[in-house]
Amino acid sequence: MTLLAIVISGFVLAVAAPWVTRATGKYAGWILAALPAAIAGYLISQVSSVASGQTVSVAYQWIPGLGIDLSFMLDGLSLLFALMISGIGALILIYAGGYLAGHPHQGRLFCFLLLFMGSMLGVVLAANVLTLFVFWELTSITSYLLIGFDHRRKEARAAALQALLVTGLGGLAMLAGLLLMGHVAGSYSISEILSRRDVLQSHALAPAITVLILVGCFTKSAQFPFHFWLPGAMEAPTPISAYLHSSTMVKAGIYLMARLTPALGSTELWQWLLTGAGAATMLAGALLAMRESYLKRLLAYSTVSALGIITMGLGIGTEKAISAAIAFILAHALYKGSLFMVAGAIDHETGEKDVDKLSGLRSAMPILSIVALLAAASQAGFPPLAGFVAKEMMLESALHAPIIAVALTAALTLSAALLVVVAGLVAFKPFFGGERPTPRHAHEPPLSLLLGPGLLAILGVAVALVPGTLADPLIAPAASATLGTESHTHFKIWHGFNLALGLSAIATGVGVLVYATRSRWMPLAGATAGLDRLSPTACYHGVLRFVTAFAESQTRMIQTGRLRDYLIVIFLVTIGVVSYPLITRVGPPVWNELGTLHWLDVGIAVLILLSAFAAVTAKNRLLAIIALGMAGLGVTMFYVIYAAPDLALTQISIEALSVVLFVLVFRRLPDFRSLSSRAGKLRDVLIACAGGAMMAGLVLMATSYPSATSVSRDLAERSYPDGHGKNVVNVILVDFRAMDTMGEITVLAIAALGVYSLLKLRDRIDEQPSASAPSAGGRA
Amino acid sequence: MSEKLALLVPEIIVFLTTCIVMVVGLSPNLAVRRSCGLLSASGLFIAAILAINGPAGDGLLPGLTPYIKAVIALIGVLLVMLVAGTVDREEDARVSRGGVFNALRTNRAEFYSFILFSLTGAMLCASASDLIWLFLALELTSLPTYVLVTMSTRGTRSQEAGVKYFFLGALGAAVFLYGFALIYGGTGSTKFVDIASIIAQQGINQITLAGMILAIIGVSFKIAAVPMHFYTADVYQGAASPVTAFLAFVPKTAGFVSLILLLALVGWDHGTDKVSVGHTLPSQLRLLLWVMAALTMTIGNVLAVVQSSPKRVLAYSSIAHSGYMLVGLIAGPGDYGAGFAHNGIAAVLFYLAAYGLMNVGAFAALAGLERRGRDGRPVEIDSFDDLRGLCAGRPLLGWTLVVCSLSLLGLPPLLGFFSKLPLFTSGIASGEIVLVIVMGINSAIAAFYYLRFAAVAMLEDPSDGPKPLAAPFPARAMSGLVALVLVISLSFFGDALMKASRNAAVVEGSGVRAVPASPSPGHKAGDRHDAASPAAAPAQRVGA
Repeated sequence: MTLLAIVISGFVLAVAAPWVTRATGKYAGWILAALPAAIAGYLISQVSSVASGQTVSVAYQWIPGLGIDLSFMLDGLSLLFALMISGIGALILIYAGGYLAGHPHQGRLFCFLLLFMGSMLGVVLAANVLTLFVFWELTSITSYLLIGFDHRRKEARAAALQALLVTGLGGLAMLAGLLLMGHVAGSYSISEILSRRDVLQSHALAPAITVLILVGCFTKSAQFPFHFWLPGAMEAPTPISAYLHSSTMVKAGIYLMARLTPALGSTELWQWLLTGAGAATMLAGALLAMRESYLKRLLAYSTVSALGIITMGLGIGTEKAISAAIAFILAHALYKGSLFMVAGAIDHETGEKDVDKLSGLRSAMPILSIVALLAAASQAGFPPLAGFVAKEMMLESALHAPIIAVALTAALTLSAALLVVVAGLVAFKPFFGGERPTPRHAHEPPLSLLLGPGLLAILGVAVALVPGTLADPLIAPAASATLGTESHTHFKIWHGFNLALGLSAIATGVGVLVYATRSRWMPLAGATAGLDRLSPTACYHGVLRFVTAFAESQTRMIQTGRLRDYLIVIFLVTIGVVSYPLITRVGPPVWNELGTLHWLDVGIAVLILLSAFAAVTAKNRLLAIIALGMAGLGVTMFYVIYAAPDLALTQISIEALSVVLFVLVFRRLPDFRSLSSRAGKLRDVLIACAGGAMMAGLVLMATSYPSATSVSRDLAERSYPDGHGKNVVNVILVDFRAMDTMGEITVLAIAALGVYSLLKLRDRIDEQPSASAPSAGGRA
Repeated sequence: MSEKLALLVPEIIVFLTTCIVMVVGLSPNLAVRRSCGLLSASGLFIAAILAINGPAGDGLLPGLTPYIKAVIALIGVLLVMLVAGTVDREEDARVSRGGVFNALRTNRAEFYSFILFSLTGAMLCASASDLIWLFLALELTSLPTYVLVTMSTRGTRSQEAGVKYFFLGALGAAVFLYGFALIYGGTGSTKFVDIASIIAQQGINQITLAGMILAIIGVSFKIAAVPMHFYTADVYQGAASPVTAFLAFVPKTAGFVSLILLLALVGWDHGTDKVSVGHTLPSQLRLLLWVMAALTMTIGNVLAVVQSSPKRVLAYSSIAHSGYMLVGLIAGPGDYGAGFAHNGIAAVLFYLAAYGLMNVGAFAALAGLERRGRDGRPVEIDSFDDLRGLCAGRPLLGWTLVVCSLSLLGLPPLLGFFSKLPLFTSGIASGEIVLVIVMGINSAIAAFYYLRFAAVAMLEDPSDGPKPLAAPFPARAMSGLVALVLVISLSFFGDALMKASRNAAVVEGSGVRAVPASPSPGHKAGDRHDAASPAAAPAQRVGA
């Protein structure tokens, strides 16, 4: 019950948020933060019971027909994520209250933020993959709304759409993967799926399932080559970047990978995809950060890099590596959330976003500078901070990775060095050195802007100093849930002198050195700009352009607007498809009946053919109609010869009527004009002949089935005794199939009514002075 | 006969309403004339209630009859609200300015009666238990729509659209009529129950197969599927928006009902073994439908991407939705007694209802707006610019558009997602993995254009220059509101409708065949064998 309330309450409060904001003004952030704070409080109270291995779960029906229910569970992994979401959520709401104080749409921002928080909690608490998917897509949508919050700016709208397209398309691939997985496992419940590891991994679809689900996770967690949307998403106001794009939403993919590790993990495909993508992301993020000078984009690229490190840890898959990844998730959420809020505060108080133009703010904002240094030191991996411990654990597990351990360790060390540079740029550079003027007079930010980053930075120290109380109860159960077995790795600050520590020291040293001499390196980073044409961003725009160009060419090709082109396709398709049963037919040859033809039959057939030919080639409409009538009369003569006078009588009257109608209508039309070329005519002749051949074949085939003829004799015999009529056709029409006849009359009556209304319409249009000349095929 | 008549009570009610409307619409009193819409809606509503409480049908899918009739009649009510003001607007204005009423210059009576006729035809399709009946019902559905298109706007474009629609429609009708004749030729009966039992006992012969192929191709006109989809672009564009909404739902529903009834003649019979998925839909028909489904959804989506007019986007995307639903037809009803998630027919029936609602909602937002043309006459809005900032300017229309277009995209947790999901799951359950992936890719393409509606209406600011006006017909916005409420509430409480569609999708024929007391037990064993070896199955049955 509580779990459901946790998820739903975010949505309920979101609806109320605009009113709350209007009513409470500048205190709205503090008041709304009470809900996530309460959720965090409840989750903290559950820590000890979850750590002892208990799992809380609830289930309510939603759409049972599809196997979608509102079922939630709280285990070690969910708890860690839910705690980060609600805890940081509370701080972010307070921060946003200060950051956007007086903004006309602040209520809307709170609404979206709470919607997002509810969806995100749904993702990490869901106990059913389809329910998880529903919330997953909701986070994409709310992210879209939040990135596009400042919708007056074109860049913000484009970035919002880009993020949504990338994560949304990834989400679709993931849905396919989840559906296939549910199909193979026979259930969509996460606990059921996790218990069917053997079935899943031995199934032929296992690789497809793995790849499809990972595409979803990679897009969401900004893994290479889908990382490009994340820096773009920095168009959002800072509270949103801090919340969605560093600590929570981008970790949804990480969460799902961790969640499914017991079911899909430790296959070779899984290992290679995760370590490969993780390492590539880690390096790409760290290197691309070197080219940035805007605070938030610097942080975005370092986030990309960190997400890569976590994915790599999950991919390595050993007990140590999983624990390291989980520890990294926690450490990163603490320092990156803090750094983003610091960056926002700098921007808010000085009006400057460019690192190159910021310097010497220490004296103006002393508290903020301490907070920034603490958080940045954690990112740089200085002891005794959470970032240091996580980095040590990760280096240790990379050294013992089952695949390409040396390459992974080297890449990790390089990235760690570059992250030191980023840390220096975002937290050291702006505060130290000589003072520089800023667009706004710099001063210490208010409490609402200091509380969030300060608290997170202090937590970053605290978890490292007292790991037994703060870190282990969270990390160990989460690692156990990811592993599927109990985890014995502990989060501790000192592992003794070992290779990992040495590498860490090298990375830090190199990082500091590069930072100090960065002016020499910057041209080098700029030189890589030439590679941008091959970047995934360029590919993204290329795909967009391709889809549009392809669609345009298809539209021109398919939709010519000419009826004849449409007819050609329809006829060809029909002929092609129907010929199949004709050609593959096995049975007695259909030609053996031909021997018994009478000369009269041949004569009539020739007459019909000649009239048809005349109808097609006639230069004059009247002639064509008469020739068509001749063909119809020829068919009637067949009825006469084969002793069906009733049918012949009916047919003659219908033929006569149609000729009269035709003449009445066509009288008003102009003469034929020759509009098609010789080649066009030839093509039409060929298609017509093929169609004729198909019809002939069908007729021959139909006549070779004797069953079809039995009904007529039966009807003829029943005609007089049952229907009291001697004309069989009439009896059939008015008696045996009276219902159908009534239907036919109705249809005809409606057709007549239609013609009448159209004629009325013609009068009305004639009255219009502005009516333009009828276009092709205008009036019939 | 009286049982059949009892089955037809809802149609008879609609038909009687039609007759009343035809007279009332000619009244010299403007207020009386204006009651046409209300009368039509009430008639349809009564028919829907009667259909829900009415008897089951006498065909192969007895549950289908009341379900589809109720869906058609209820969405028909919304459509009738949506078409308010499409015709006779100037004539009414002239008369209320003191002009003399001239019955020959009004079109209201015919317009509403054609709408009702077409709805009657679609409902009759669901009652069909005989090929001839089905043909007549399909024609009754289509004939009025040709006229509706032509009379819906004053432009020559509508006339061109009407002519094209008529020609291709007549061709389609000829094709499926010929197919029906061949089915009769191959089986010796026009009654569905007889045909199904003959095919079940003797297998499907080549002539019946040719008949089925022609019938499917012909009916593909009604659902705007490849190869008969061409008209959609020109016709949907030429007709007035409310009429386009009508075309996108009513003939499509009639077409899908016909396809379900036709395919039930051959049967799906997935066998009892879930793992070794066995199609006994003859391989040729499966292949035909497969290619149709893949091409239809792809063409619809690709064409929709580049359109600059919101109406054309919705029109093209309606082709794509037909493609999605064809997947459910291929999947078939699954095992006898399969749950909703594995029953492709139930998925199609549910999708039809869901699509109808979302479609009305999206079109209501477009039809609720208009601009002044150069000559001062009201014209339809025709660009995305007119929708900019709609959520802020006209919240009701804006949010209706946003919610319905996102739902059409299939975004969770909206109705569209829950209606697309069973198509996926039933496709997977019947082994159509590739087709399901094609459908997934297409859903991705659809994101490109459906998101545009949401982005334009929600995020952008109104464009400079004159803003579009609200169309002076509250009924249009009202239909959008009702659709919006239903789409949202069905997203959370859709289970009852799913159960109903599940019950509607029970194929009696396969149940009959599952009973061992079949007259030819030897053949029964063959059927089981077929189910176990899918590749060999169609060849054996065809050869029989």
